Amino acid sequence: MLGININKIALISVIFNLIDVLSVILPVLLAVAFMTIIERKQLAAHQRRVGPNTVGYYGVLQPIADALKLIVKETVIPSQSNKVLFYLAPVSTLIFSLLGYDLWGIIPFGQGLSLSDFSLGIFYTLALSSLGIFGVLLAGWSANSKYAFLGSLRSTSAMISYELILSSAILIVIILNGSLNYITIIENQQAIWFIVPLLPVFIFYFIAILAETSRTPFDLQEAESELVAGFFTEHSSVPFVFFFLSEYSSIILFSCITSILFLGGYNMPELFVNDTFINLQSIVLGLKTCIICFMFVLVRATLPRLRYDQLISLCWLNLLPVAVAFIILVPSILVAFDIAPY
Amino acid sequence: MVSLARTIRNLRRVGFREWWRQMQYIGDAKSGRFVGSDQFNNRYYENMNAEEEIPGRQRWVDFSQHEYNASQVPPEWHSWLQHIRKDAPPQDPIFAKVSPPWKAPHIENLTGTRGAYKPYNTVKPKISAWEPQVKARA
Amino acid sequence: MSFARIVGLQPRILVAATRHTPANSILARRLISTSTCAHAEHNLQSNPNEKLRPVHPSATQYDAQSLEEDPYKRGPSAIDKAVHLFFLTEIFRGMWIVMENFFRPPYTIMYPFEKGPLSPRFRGEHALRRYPSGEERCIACKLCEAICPAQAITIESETREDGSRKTSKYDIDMTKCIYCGFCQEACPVDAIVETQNQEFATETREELLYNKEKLLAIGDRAEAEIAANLQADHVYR
Repeated sequence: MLGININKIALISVIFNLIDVLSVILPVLLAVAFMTIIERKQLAAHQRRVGPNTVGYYGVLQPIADALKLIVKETVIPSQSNKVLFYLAPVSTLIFSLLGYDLWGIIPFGQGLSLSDFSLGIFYTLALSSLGIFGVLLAGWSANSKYAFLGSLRSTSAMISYELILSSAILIVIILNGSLNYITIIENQQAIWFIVPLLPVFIFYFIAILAETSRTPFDLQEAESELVAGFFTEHSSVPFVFFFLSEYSSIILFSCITSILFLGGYNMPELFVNDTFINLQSIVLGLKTCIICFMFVLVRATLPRLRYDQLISLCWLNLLPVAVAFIILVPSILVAFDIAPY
Repeated sequence: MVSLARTIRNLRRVGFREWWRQMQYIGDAKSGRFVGSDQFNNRYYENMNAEEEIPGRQRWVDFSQHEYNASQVPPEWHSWLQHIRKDAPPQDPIFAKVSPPWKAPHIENLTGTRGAYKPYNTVKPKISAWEPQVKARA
Repeated sequence: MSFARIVGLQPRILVAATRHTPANSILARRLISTSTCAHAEHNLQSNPNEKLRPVHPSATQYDAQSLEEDPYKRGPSAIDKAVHLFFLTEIFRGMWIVMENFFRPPYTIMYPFEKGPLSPRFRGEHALRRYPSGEERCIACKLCEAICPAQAITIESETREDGSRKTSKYDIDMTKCIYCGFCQEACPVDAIVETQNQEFATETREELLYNKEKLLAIGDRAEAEIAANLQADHVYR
């Protein structure tokens, strides 16, 4: 009898865990789908066009039509490719950038509103988002096509380079907090958002996440004139959808992390701190994420693509010295004025 | 981005019902003078106010059919809609003069349907197959 | 109203724009701030009062001057330049322009409902016209067939019972036609014209092989429009 009961309890807890995870993953997937239409509409508005407006009202259902079209297309597998890796690459990319439980699970959507309060949260996020590079590498190599291979080399080296800048910027935030936990970081920003004291850091952090998600000024992998479509040249239909989704989900993920690290996460400005606003916390986080997503598209609408050597030299010759300087400067100030939190 | 002020202004002018219909078809709130309607009940509007409509959007048609098609506009209104003629067909002096008795009713582009045009030869074929004349045996 | 003016960057940017060529040419060579390659705008003569070629002083004067010359006196300060560099002010000004356009209405013409302006001389689908009596105009002179650069027109003629010469076959291959309008220029009786209709796209190629009756039918439908266009154009021909 006792054993059955324990099994029942275990089963129930598994089901509840599953519901927890799904309640995070499904909205994220929906958000990823609608991020594509938002981007297209916003780009259209910046260029004074209308954008997709036929499928559904104002083109709201366009992502569904796009997904349907991509899914019913034929999956072309190059005959000389490594079939297992060819399929594994998009799957791993999507999983590492989406990973509902692992990445989105540790993001606090409000006070006590996270799947797990993990004390090494940022570390974990960085580690998992770096794993996405393997998908890029595998895709380029397994397709056995020179375009895909060159594209994957390009995006891999760019991502590895900018990973450095990204981690340095995050390291400064960590130094300021003395903690790797997201909730601690958010609570520390109740007085002032980190974007104000760390504005220069935020600027090169933003450049780094643009490069990490391979968005426009740094989307060398998608330089259509030189490479056909980057590392996923040979991928069509569903594998292509996976790459597409992973690109946009990483945009949303990085927007969310940015709003936590620099914009105070679910904190409202001090003005609105009130018992009645406590339930709006996740909405506040969502709004901040939307603002960063908007910035992503705004940058895409504004800036032309960099040349490849400029991309790499910007990272190693310009951004890295600045990052190192700030890594020295910020703890020096903390020590000099004896205000370090640890 | 479609201007919110423009949408609200046009919504106030045309009313909710008409605005809803416009959202189903044109996809933008528009308001203007009703110019006339043709024999197919397509309705034509005009708003020459330069501050409200940019050139090219000043004249528009509200198709009567749900399955709308650009070729459903009859030629007279077509030349008004594309700014070839200044006046609408009922007011146009040339259109009033030219109405020959052999004028044919307008047909829309029927491609893809059973009514689609099929080319045929209008002359007798130059080559005809030999038809042997067999003399009756005696 | 630009973003720079709102945040108070405008005076600084203006200062940055009014750069001077220093009198000392050695300094000019040495300072990256005054070298023309470091800046997007190559306006060496930004100050109209300044002479293009300053008179060079003698060597001793030159050295004495260069010792006293403060290279940063007239240009933007180092902090200004650093701020513009590190806070990406140029990029943010560009983004502000893009942002301004976000709130402006689009230029899109919603096609089947709204259409852009067209000339009465626009050359679209062909039509064969009739006289007001209903008699077809074409006299089978074959001038259009002769002039057609794409050789899209095929004509055969016959003599009717009343002795008039008319076409028995007038085919235009619309897939060959380049819509140059030579046929309507060549026609002595204004029989073949190009209407303003451009919405005659078809699903199959064969539907574009127009014969005489199809062309006459188009003319019968669009006679009013054709007549109006010819009337609008008659003063020029």
